[in-house]
Amino acid sequence: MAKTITDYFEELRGTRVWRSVFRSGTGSSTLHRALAVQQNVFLHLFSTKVRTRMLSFSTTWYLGTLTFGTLLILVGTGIPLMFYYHPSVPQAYADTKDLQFVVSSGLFLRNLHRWSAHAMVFLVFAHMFKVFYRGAYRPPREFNWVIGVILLLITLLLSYTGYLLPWDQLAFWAITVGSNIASAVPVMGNKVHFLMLGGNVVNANALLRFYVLHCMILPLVAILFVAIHFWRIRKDGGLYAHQSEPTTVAAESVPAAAKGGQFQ
Amino acid sequence: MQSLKNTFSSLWQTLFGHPVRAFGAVSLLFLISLAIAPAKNYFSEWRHYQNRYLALVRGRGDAVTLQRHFHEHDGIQQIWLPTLGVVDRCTTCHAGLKEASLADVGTQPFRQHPVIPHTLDQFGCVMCHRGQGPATTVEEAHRSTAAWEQPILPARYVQSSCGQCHRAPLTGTPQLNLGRNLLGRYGCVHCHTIKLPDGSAIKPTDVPPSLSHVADKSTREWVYAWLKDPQAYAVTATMPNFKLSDPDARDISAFLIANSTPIAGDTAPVAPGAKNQKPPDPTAGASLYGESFCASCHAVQNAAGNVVGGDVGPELTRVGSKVKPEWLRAWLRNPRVYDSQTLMPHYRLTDPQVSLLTAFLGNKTDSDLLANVHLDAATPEQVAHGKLLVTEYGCASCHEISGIKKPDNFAPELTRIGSKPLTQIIFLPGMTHAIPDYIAAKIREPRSFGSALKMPQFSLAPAQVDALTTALLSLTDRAHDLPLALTVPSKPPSNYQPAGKAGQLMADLTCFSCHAINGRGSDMAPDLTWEGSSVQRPWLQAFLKNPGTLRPALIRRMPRFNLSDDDAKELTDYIMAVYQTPAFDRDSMPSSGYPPAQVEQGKQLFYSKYACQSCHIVDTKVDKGYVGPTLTQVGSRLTAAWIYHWLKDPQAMRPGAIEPNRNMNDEDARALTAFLMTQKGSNKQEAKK
Amino acid sequence: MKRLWRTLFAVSLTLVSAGCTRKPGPASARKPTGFGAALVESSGGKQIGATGMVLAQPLVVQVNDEQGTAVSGALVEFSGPAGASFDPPSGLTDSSGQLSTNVALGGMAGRYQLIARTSAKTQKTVELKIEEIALGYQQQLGYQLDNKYCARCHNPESSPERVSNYDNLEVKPHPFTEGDTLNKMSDAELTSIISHGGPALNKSALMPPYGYTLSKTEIEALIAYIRLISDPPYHASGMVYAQK
Repeated sequence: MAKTITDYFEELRGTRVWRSVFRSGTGSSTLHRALAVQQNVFLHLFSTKVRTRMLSFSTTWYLGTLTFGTLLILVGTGIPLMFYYHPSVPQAYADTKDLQFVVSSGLFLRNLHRWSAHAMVFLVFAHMFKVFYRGAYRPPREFNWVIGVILLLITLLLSYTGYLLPWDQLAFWAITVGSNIASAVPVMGNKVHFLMLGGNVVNANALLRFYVLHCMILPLVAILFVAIHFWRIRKDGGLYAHQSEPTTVAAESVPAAAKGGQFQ
Repeated sequence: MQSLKNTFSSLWQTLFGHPVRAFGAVSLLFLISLAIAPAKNYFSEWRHYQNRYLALVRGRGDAVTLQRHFHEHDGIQQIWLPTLGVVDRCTTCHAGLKEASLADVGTQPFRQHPVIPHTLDQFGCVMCHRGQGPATTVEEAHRSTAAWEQPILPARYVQSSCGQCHRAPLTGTPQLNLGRNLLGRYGCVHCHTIKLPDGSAIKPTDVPPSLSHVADKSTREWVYAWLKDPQAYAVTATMPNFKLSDPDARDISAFLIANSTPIAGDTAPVAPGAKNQKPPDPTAGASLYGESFCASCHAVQNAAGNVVGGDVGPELTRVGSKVKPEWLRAWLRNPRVYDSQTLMPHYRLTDPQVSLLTAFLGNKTDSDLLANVHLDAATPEQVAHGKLLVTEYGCASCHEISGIKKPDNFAPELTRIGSKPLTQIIFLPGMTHAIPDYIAAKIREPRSFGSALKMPQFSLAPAQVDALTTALLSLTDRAHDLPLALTVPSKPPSNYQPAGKAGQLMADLTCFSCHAINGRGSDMAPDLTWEGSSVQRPWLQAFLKNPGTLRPALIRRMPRFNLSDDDAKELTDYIMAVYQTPAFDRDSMPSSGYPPAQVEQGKQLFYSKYACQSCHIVDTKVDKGYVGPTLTQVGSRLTAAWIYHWLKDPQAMRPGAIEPNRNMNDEDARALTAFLMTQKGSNKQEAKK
Repeated sequence: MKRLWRTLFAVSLTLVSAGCTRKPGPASARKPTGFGAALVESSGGKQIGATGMVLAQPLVVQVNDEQGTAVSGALVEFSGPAGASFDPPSGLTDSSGQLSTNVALGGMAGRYQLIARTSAKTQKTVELKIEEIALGYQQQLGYQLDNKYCARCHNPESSPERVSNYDNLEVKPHPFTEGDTLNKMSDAELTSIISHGGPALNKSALMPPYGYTLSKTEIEALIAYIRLISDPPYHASGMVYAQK
């Protein structure tokens, strides 16, 4: 009898090495499959079972996932970029040029980072509108909406701080205009302006400040709030999916072993 | 159609039907598209050019050497000079730049760089050629893009980059030298301030006349015609055309004449009865004009249309239509009465000579010039309007006009015009968006940028426009921010002023208009800094009274100033006493008494070994060479010590002399000196040319 | 729903295509009213200029018909290799059958073969080759040195500023354009005669030695200049730029 690939995988999953790394053993019983999620440090935030209708495209258009995906791309491209970038005043622009012309795939790295950033802002707004129009903010999910707004602000701040880093005319003037708008706030405007820039004009201090915000502080804050956001989804009963929304998965394509329960 | 739809939907179902499979398919697609990035990185533009270079090199005889040079550093190349802020990656694609053996290759980008006075590693590429140095693609490196404004400098303006460091004129940059010259000569800097890195400003070299007393000199009709079109009066006039309307020219001329104040003594009426006297010789006036060598400074346009003569003074083709005869008489008698700063020497002409010249010059008229100019008497409103116009057009920037202050910074400052950001420039539709094109178009036709602009129209040839553009392009930010150690400053102008009565005489005769002494003056005539060591006193005094021809090959001569004996002696004493070289004593060798054997040896050397007769004449019957001065009387003219030292090293005596340095030994030099000192010539003076 | 998407798509497409600016097409070529049979150069050929810069004299060509009379209204086009540019690049001949253009040579030193083209009545093209020389930095230096030191004897033509000394010499020097003689001399021989005078190559002592007056760079510059202007051309004298 020819062994199928599934059988080989089962054998692999029974070996001592596998069990040492992954701890949940072989078997495709519900328990084993649940353990695979619940005992994984990266995945244990997710629930082991979800309703199929939460997975359908028309429910969420996968916008939240895509937003998180772009965030991962941004972190994944941002860190290599940090290897080449010096946040000091004449060097920043030269480094951007070097990335474009000298570094292998540097242009791709930079472009991917920038496009993902623009995509992320777009997706964040789209995700916000989709949640709103679906009514996924209704109780018990009101606080998650607040977290979402905070995440929106963080996204916009990340975008704004990152914009200055190439240190070209576009960057300089954009930040100048933005900080001047901030200085128009009554009572505290000028202080806010000075705090933002570390000076009265956009200069080396502003660059360094924005770099630290963009690469360290804001990502950490973002990770924190993303964790809370996902945790709230979990605790509020998963993604909001209205009863009338269709399921994506057709009956025949479900693996046979998993059939036999209302929940999949 | 339906089956197509079916196949499509089943394909879709297979690939994306199940979420896991969909995820897998999308990830696979993503991975494949991700491979585009490293692929694009490998098949880059510069690598393509490097491969082409290798293909070119492969078929050549010196392939091995060239390949070895190339492989010592393939990949991205750069010239990196951190102190100058230079990162130039041009040699990545221009791989053959430093290879001398590629002189026969004509296709870019593999051509060898032409021979220049700097090596490539000294300053990089962008210092001279502009463009974006750090770039490794053609579009970003050569052209103006969204991320980099400055494109490559067109070859015709490349000399402007030399001017960023070199403030003094260079032999290798004739266009830049011409442009800087024109900036001064056409008076651009009267309106446009141009500051130099050392804090000084470029000085104008033209002398626009004062208009405070213009009514004594000229008529209102002439002023009107001049304002309407200066080049109709004199083709070489550097005054630009302000494109004035008829009423405006009428009002300005009215104001200038009304505003003019007379000077005592600047007009000399014709003596009664002299008007009707015919000169005995109709060509006497022309002869006197020629003998006075007025053409050394003044030009006249001849019948063929060629302008012949010097450009120190104004063109005299139609001077009779311009000046009043009485003014001209007084001027020729003593120019300093009307204009104390004039470059024209005080000729000390006799009254008959003055009349002759006045008549001669007065005949140089052009009836067409003033034929259609009919002006009614000026009203006070017209005079007031004229004053307003004169203020608006900034005439006082160049001309002294009583009652109107010279405006400061009448026109935009051009100190850093070569680096002007493109965003600050308004281009004409259809123009290339680059600084050189903007500057050239502005100079060529300023009012094309707007009819209300005040910049007037200069009449410049295309080569002059290019030269001016080159000079202006050299005024960049880098020129001002360079470390001082890298600049080659120009010699500061000398303000040497001789003292005493001789000094006054030299000012009156304006010796510095033609001669240079101690760094001040012009290079039209010989440098007199060491004249006292070079010539003998009797000759000098006689020469000053009656200048003869020294160099028959040249058309310009020293004029005859009719100096009195006292004046000539005063000057001679001063020159002989003061203008001596510290290198030797002029009396260290005798002027006569050389042994005949040495004289004969000198003669042999003159004709056979050194063949001096190719350029100098000693025996007028035999020798014909007239590159250098004739030496028939050199024994009476020059001192022996000067001749000896001159023969040993001419360029040390007078820098830039074209006499070749023969590296002569002492014996030969002395023998030649002995021979030349016996050339005393006849007692008759040389005929004046 | 589908219709909404379709209309939105169509609208956005039209907006985008309308928004794209369209550059005005090239000016319609002028129609020639005359056709010639021959193209001759009136003036402006065989000039020596500097790389990249406008030549001092404009290039003037004349279109003649079979009998030799001038043809006005003929369309003449100029073209040149390696960066040579013309202002204007084409035009109609005026009433005297001539068209004048200012030529700017390319950025590389060498000989440029420019081409002027006009159509004959029989639809054939008549071509005229014009040669100009562009001096690079080194050759420019050589040109100035020649003017200062050499031209008085080596150039038989006089100018208003300077009378030629050529006729005064017993042994006539070779003008620098005389390729027949000068091309046979190697660079080393030229350096030798310039530095040490005529006797270095057994020639007349009327040629003085300039080795102590000129530096090595200057002599090299002079030789580079001489090589570029010699006629017939010196074979290794730098690039000859011709189309195709």
